[in-house]
Amino acid sequence: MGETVTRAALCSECLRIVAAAMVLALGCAGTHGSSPAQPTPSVGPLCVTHDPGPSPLRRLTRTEYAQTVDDLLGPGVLDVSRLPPGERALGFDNNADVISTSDLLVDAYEDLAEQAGDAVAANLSAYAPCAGLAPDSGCAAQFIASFGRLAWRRPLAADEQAALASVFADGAAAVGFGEGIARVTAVLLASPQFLYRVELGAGPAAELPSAVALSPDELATRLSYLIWGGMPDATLRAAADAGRLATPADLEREARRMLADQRAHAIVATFHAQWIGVDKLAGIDKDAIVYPAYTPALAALFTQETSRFVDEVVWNREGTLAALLTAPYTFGDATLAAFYGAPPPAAGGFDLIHPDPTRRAGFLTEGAFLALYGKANQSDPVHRGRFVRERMLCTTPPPPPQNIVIRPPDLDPRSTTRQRFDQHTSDPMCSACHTLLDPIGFGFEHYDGIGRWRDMEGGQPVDGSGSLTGTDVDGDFDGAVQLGAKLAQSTDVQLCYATQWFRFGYGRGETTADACTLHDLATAFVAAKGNVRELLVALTQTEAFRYRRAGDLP
Amino acid sequence: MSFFLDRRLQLSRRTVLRGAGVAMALPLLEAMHPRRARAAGAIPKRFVTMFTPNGTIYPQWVPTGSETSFTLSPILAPLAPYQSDLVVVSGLYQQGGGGDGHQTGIGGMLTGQSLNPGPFQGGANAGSAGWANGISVDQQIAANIGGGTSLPSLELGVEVGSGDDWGRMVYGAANQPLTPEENPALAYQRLFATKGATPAELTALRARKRSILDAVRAQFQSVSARVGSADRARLDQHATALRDIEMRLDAQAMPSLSCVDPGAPVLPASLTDNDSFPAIGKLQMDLLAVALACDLTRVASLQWSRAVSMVRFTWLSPTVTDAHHDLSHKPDSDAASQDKLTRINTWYASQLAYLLGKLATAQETDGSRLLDATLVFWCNELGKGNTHSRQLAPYVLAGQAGGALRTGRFLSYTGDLPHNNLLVSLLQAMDVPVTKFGKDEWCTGPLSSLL
Repeated sequence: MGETVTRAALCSECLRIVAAAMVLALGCAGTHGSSPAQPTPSVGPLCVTHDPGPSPLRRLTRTEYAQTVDDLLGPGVLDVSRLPPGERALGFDNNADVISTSDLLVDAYEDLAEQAGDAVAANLSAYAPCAGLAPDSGCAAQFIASFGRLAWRRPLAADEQAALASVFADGAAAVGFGEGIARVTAVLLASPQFLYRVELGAGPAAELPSAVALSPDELATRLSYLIWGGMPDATLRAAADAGRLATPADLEREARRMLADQRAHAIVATFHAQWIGVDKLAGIDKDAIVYPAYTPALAALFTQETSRFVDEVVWNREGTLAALLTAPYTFGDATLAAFYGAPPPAAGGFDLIHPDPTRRAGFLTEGAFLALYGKANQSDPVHRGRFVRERMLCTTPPPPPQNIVIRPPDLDPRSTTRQRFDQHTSDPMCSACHTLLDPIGFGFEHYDGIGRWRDMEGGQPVDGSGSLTGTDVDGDFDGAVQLGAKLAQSTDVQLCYATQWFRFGYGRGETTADACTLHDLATAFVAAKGNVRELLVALTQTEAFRYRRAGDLP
Repeated sequence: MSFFLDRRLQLSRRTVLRGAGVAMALPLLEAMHPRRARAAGAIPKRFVTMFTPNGTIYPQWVPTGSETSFTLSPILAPLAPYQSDLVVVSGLYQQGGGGDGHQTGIGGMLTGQSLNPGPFQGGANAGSAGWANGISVDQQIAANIGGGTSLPSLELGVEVGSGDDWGRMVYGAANQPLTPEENPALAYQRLFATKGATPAELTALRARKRSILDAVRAQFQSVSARVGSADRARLDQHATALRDIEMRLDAQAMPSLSCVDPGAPVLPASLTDNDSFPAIGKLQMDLLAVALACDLTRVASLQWSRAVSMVRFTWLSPTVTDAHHDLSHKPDSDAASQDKLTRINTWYASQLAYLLGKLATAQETDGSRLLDATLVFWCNELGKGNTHSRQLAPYVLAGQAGGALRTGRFLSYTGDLPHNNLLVSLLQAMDVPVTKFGKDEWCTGPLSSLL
């Protein structure tokens, strides 16, 4: 009984990954109807069959729910902290393929909806101004139409308005006008049209046979959750009402307007927190004997640092993925500056700092990444390498074979981590896959398990050399700063980063049917020299964004 | 944290009492259970699952001796006060499939099913898996005996972390994992939401909820009819949960004599900090026990951490600073690590002993122990951590399941019998009339000589 994975099978799986990576690097040369020929060579998978791919029903994430009730009711009116965290796949908490609905979650939705109703009823002058003049069924109908249009992100049909009017009437009869409004509000917020992004489509798409066009309100909703993580604003609603969301140029115009709004920063922050994994740092714990310097306060500084760094690069400076991997600056207070051996911020507080650029450049050399992918009592070349392979190159080595003893090496004050982990490459059972991971991860050996620089380990000088294989930037490097510089040159990394945004932006994993969308995204991203904001614009231009599959509706 | 929590609790109370005058201090039971009459002798059965991760150290876990005359092992020693309430089951093979060893293990542990294909591997290219392909044994029991109580089942967790298939063990159906509540304050609030409300207030509250739920369910039906089949399945799952809430408005509890409101839990400073683990666990066990004692639910589970748990047992003496999962991969020849793992698993046994103590001291209306009516199932996603083997999976049952289970026994099976058979026997002990459970080819019927 029990599984055994033969060495041959394991090796062939890892060889397949290397081969696949090489094929992707070659890219393809075709272009297709909806996007004009690019002046730069196109990249990514070959686009043959035009297809928007699947559009599984998306539920508002915890973050989106919080933003949406803030948009709808005003900031802080509803405390949503009781919502349980969502399911998480491919690194992101919005993957529609894995959502599940527990009683726990539905209980929370139901209670929060009632609380929202109470908040509205307690402040009728703000939410239903007509109540001040005539708190009657006419005022209620007005509230149902206007508040309902916001909550459900589209105008309500007559039968829907009638159903809500009946809810109002029951509450009004039992208690009074405010109770009727409270119940209406609760029903609106507990209904699928609020909690889910229901898309019924708007008939066959003229330009793309087999696809369904989306209604203007459905497109407005896709835009607002993609770029703001919240509900459409008045300008977007007006564009939808006026038929000004019909063309790719319309979508681009709105996308650029929305990217200029501060709200877009939160989405970029959330993406990077989940892509890098920084949002898990608070739950990471270190051995206090080996790393007495590692405290929750330091972890909080790390989190703040990477968040500020990403924000600065994307919005204020270079704007590119390459800069995220190479920028010779970061953020910190005096404590963090001292941790990096850098002068404290000139203006005090938490601000720009400049660590030694031969030791620190880009997020791969920041404390958050290094501590996240460090063990509790030592560094962790395997998981640091795995991050690069899996999250930056989008190739996933298979899990270790079952029924073999996997033994992370013990601490040994006389040896280096590299020496201790060398068994991976000497034992053929392990080496097939670990040659994909460890040679990258060894490049981080100048950073200990919490990200501190070290020149010596176990009484011996640290060897921070590494190598990349199976990529378009293969070759040796010395240290993570050089690794970051190599990755910044890689088209494979750009394609993977665009793929990660596909997963996050569209709330699902890519499929073979998404070749054209991925091709368009990667091509646009490369053409924009890796500009992150341009990639967000490109996400609004794809077949996956603009359409649904015809077969997805009954 | 505490500021927001306090504010939310107040909001909740206000919600409950909204528009209904001044709350009067009534005895808890009266307020919560207006129709609490119960026939003598009709003590309800309860089912509790407790999960601990990363396998065990079998030589230190397995008892010695015969079925009815056995000596508890070092790991099980903390359970000595309840030895006569135990059935230790060794030698079964925990079935499962798909994903890595830990995923397979926790997914198949309570379902007896494989994991379906899915995206949980950090990448879609290779070796990934999704959710388990069937209902878990506790939910099957809840479907049969959980009706009519305030909650059909109660899922509690201790620092479970990310919502993926290493962190879920309870399934309402294929691909429908249930999220455990990790925050004892929120669990308390959910269990005792209506505390302090008068019968009149409760009537008004129910009328309001019913009115809202009816209208919301109509919306789910309306939308469900207009979307594709996959989306409809998701909406229908949600609508089912809404129906559950509505049915619970009529809950009829049969509380034991030991149903006492424990009061809002006092949380440790952090719910994610490593060293908060024991404190959170204790609060969750207290709530689990009182939920059963008050008959707010008859099916409950407690999930300690997750498969591949990285908890560091810094509170043990001598302290263990290595992450549990890292330790669990040390070879058998590493005596120091084997000792640490033995002490970790012994600590988990002591937690079960604490929970059993609560159930043994809770008194039913006929004077019997709550534990007499309960079946507790302690399980693990693996048998052996360093190989990911699911042979020799370490199962401990406790409680008499209302007389269905003869306890004070040690059952040692040979031949890698599928654990699905044990799941069938658990179901039968809980009066669920089945002869098969989980994946058909893995199940040959009930486990011989258990019941």
